Amino acid sequence: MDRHEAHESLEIVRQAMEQTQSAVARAGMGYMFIIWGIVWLVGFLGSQFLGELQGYLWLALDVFGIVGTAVVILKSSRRVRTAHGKRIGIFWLMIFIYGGLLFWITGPIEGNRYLLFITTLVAFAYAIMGIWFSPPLLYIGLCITALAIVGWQLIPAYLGIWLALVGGGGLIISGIFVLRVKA
Amino acid sequence: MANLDTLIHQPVRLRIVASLSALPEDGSAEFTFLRDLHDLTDGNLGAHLRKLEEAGYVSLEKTFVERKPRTFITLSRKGRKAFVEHVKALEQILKDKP
Repeated sequence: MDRHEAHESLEIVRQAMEQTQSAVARAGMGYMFIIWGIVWLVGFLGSQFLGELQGYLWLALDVFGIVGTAVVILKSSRRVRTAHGKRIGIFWLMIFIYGGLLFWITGPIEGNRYLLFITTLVAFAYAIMGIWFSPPLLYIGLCITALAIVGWQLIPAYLGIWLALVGGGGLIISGIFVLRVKA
Repeated sequence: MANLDTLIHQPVRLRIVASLSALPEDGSAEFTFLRDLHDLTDGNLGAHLRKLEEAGYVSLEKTFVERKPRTFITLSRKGRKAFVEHVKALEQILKDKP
């Protein structure tokens, strides 16, 4: 085999691997970021403006997020299966359960501390997933945490709007980035 | 020194094996996913998968998803090793030949 043929074969390998990773990314992570970005964007804006009614809004948004996630997982598992997918699902279930337990043990958390509790718990989950599966998730988790703390310290009166934009908006942009870069 | 694998070297089989190697080690791709990704016909993909399966490079699992028959293809350890060796051999050619 000559150099040209070897180069062409390696190019076939590179393209096939990139196409596969792109298709898998489109099927999963990108859409998940967008779904939960919408949940955060609407939810945190609601927290800023709706007062006590925000609880109902978050409940409805969480149902939307969970149903949307289930649909994405079901559709993608028809085409590609990995043990990662099951582990990620169990991981998020554990985050939800332990988050609820911590909330109960620590007693009532209200106002901005409640918003921060949700934000940093989810950002923590992204960071852990990033360590195990995909470094960009670690950076997203750390950035969201840092920006949430900064907003809490500098503009506490507008924390809901801040979290809606940097958290929700950040996740939506991340999702679009994943879908477009890998396309 | 790594050797070229004549079975994997065929362009369509090379694309199939490269795609499967892009998944995690425990990952598998459904038949129609590979077919659509590489723009193949059912017959063409099926013929190449049979050859790879006979060599022990892939395993096929037939199952039902939402009552529809589905075939999932997994790259075996033997297949992954053969692919890695083949890629190393190709890279060696680029290094050795002017």
